[in-house]
Amino acid sequence: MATAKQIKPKKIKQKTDFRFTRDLLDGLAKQNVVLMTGIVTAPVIIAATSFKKGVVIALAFAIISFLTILTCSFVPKKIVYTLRVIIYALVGSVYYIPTVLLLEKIFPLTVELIGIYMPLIITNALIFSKTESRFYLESKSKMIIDVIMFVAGFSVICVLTGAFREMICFGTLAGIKLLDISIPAFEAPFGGFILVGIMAGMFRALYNYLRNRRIKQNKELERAEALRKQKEEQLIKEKTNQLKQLP
Amino acid sequence: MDKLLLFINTVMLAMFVENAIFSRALGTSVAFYASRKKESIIGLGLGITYVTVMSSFVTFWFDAWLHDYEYYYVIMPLIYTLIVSVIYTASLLVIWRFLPKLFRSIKKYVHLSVFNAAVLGALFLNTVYHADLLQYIAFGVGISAGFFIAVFFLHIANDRLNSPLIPEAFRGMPIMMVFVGIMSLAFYALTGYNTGAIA
Repeated sequence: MATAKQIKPKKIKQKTDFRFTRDLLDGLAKQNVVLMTGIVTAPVIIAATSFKKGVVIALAFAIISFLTILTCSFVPKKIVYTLRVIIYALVGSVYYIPTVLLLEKIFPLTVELIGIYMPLIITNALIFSKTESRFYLESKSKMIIDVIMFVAGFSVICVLTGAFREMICFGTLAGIKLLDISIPAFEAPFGGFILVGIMAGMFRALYNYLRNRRIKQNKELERAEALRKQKEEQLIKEKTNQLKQLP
Repeated sequence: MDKLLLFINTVMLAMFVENAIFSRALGTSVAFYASRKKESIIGLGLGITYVTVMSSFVTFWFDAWLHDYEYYYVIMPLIYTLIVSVIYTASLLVIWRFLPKLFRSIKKYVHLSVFNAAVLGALFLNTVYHADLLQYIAFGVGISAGFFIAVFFLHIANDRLNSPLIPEAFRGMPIMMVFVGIMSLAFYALTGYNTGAIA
């Protein structure tokens, strides 16, 4: 009886649920547009040189990308993609107008400092490539959550890069002095490239480590499950043998 | 002669000081994509050059016309996108009508050479820096040539940057970014940097 209790089956996560969650978290980690796929990098590398700039870029990116992708999902697929991209670009440019006016009201100087990288958000690859290869192949509800996750993935990295660079360049975070170091040259494009490159490498290394660990854990779970089944079968066999031996 | 010198000067400035990739990170993802194949570099380079130069020519007139409008900077992306779209559509129609074979081969990736940060970025920078038509066109040519050079450098380094000597996590995009960063540092030396040591 005691052995039967010991080998009580462990609860295993349902595979379908797990896959769904993993798909939605793609935008945050596995397919992060800055660190994993590198399809939206210009604003992060050049313009996100401080925490505040990072926040403003992230906000502009979130508003423009989300609204453009959502609106363009209603564009009929009958129109060939070669021409459909024009509509995407024009919709993005239209959404840029209220977005920049709104952000200018809240962060007047920062928007000016970001310069040409603000309007360049309308040509980001999330709108031109990911829509066709991913978002528009999903159901509307899943697409909305997926887009939010992708946008969040970009925003987190953009703000983090801005914060790191501000600390390296001036030793401050959001204007508050934290460190005594200051390497102002790191504000130049090369600083952005090198920092994003190192961040991408480290992020990938961490992701690979976690993935390998998960695969290893799953394998161990499967092995334990197989062992448990084997023991269970053995136990049943023994019990049937015992029953057979009874007069 | 002066105009020719100004033209060359602006082209050189756009190629090396305002390099699309190394100084401005314009169209980095497209450059990474194009650097994998030699054919893509030529195709994409020509596409970007054509669209940038044509668009620069048209945007000059719009800039001159709407320059004094208070909210021009807000509607500028919409106007530029419209200009680029018209040029893109007209060019595609001409290619489709007269060069159907070429149209079939480019239609899958032609949008990459039109709707990317390198083209729009060049147009925005033009508006910020220049005032006459010659400089507009020269800057367009220079940015495209700079993009072409940068992609060519990436193509040369591509094999080495993906070799087994590079740690697995850094292979591909991350090491490419670091490489572009180092190249950017070299290009940065062209403009110089004030350390603050000399007043």
